[in-house]
Order: sequence, then structure tokens, then C-alpha cells
Amino acid sequence: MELMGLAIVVILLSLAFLFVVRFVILNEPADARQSFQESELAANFLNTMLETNAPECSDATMAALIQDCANYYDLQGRITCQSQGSNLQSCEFLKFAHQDLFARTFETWKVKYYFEVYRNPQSPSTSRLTLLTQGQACTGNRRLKVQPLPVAGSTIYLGLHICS
Amino acid sequence: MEKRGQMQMMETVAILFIFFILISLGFIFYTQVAKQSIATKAEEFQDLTAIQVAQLAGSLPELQCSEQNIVKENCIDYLKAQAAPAILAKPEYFDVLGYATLTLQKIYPGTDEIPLYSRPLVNADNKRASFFPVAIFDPASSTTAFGVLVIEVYS
Repeated sequence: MELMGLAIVVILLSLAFLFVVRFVILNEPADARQSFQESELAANFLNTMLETNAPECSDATMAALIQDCANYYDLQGRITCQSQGSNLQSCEFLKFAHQDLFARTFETWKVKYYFEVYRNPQSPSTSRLTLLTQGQACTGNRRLKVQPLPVAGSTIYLGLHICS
Repeated sequence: MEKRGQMQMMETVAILFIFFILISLGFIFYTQVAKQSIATKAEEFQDLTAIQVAQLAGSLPELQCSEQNIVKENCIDYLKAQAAPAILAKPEYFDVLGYATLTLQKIYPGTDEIPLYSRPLVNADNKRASFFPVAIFDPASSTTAFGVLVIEVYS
């Protein structure tokens, strides 16, 4: 009879333990900061970056440089920038500028990211043209901000992935 | 008969002993979990404070960019930022920003760092930094630089 009582107590405690494990320990805390930062970070980063003027390129904005690079991709762009004593076309300059910008922000903060500038295919048979990339593609969850930018005859897209 | 009664008594005592041990273990486990839960809640509260400070700082007329009375989102006026440390040091701003440190970092072109507001909590147990990219507009040259607003919240 007593053993029955003990068995019931053990069963009740096991149930209570399972309940605590399910609802307290396995319940992921809502990281308000992380979700806010990830969504704000990507949006703010792209918006700010596009507005930024590059003194090396006669104060052209990054948006203008990306548009120039996309419009004259075969020539690597027509805007000439003077960087560290050498002349660089807009596409080449953007590679260095983005590398520097991401190194001083996301890489310093140890946030994994993937940035790409691409043009969607004209027809389903052709693959999309990637103009610029930076960082490594996310393998797991990500937050994505896509910013369209008009160019001659089409639209290019800037995608910034924040890997979780 | 007496021996059998003693045996049953011993059995009952043993069962009660085990029962109380299990109850105590359950209680200890529960307090540990509750402690952890309170710590998580405190951390969440601190995160929300950082977000609140970031939003408040971004909307302060003492810092934000405006042109012909039209406010520009996510932008800090470079000239206002240079004057801000003296203005934000006034006691009334403590009610708004609390124990925090706000620093504006210019990332490109060139580098610069302007400490906008500094009210660190002495003997703080915890300090968390948040980064918010912002445009830094210089009205003197009409150019925009890439900057980061660094917000450190203490608790």
C-alpha cells in the first residue's frame, strides 16, 4: 500500500519535472534586443550606406556608384575614383569601400552577414547577375533586408542578410 | 505482533523520509529555475531600455537632421552632435536617457568619435552595448557620412 503511495508521489514529481523542463527551461527567452537589432541593423545599414558620399569619387553617393557600376558593368563603371593614389572604376572602388565598411562594423561586432548586389534574370532561362558580394552566405536562419535601386532599363537589388 | 507493528512504523517513517527528500529536491530545483528566470527577465528589461534609449536619442531635436523644418529619419546632424555633449550634460536629460553612454562614431569617410552623453552607473553589475547605423549629415559641406550610434546601458 505504501509502495503504491510512493509510486504515485514519484509519478507526480516526474510530471512536475517534465512540466518545468517543457515550459521554463526549453522555453527560449524572447531576445527583444536581438530581434530588434537584427531587423533595424540591416535596414539602417543599407539606407545609411546608400546615402553616404564618397570623397574619393567627387562626393558621389554610394547609391550613384552602385547604379553606375550596374549600368556600365562591362566597363566596371564609368565614374572614376581616386583611392590610395590610383584610379579605380566605380565597381572596383565599391568592392574596397564595402570591404572596409563591413570590416569596421559587422566584423568588429562579430555579426555574421552576407551582402549582395544583383540583377534579376530577364528571362527564366538566364541566371541572375551578381554584381557585388561581401561576407559569407548564411547557413541557418537569417534576417533579410532587400533594397531595390533603379538602373537604366531595369532594377537592381541590394540584399543584406543578417545570420542568426 | 509487536515486531510487525514496529516494522510497519519503520516503513512509514522511511516512506515519509523519502517523500520529504523528494519534496526538498523539487523545491531546490524550482528555486534555481525561478532564479534563472528572474535573471533572464532582468536582461530583457535592460535590452528594452537600450532600444528605448536608442529611439529617444534618434528623435532628439538636439541631434536629428532637419531641412526646412522637415525631419530626416535615421540621421544625425554633425554640427549639432559636436555641440551635444555640453547640452546633454544638463540634469534634465538624465530623466530621458538615464544611466547610459551614447557615442557617435564616424566610420566612413575618415574616422571620428563624439561622446554625446555619458552617465555611467558606478559599480554597475552589467553593461550592454548596442550599435545603430546612422547617417551623419554635415550641413557645412552638404555631405553625408556613414556613422554608428553606440549605446551602452548600465544596470
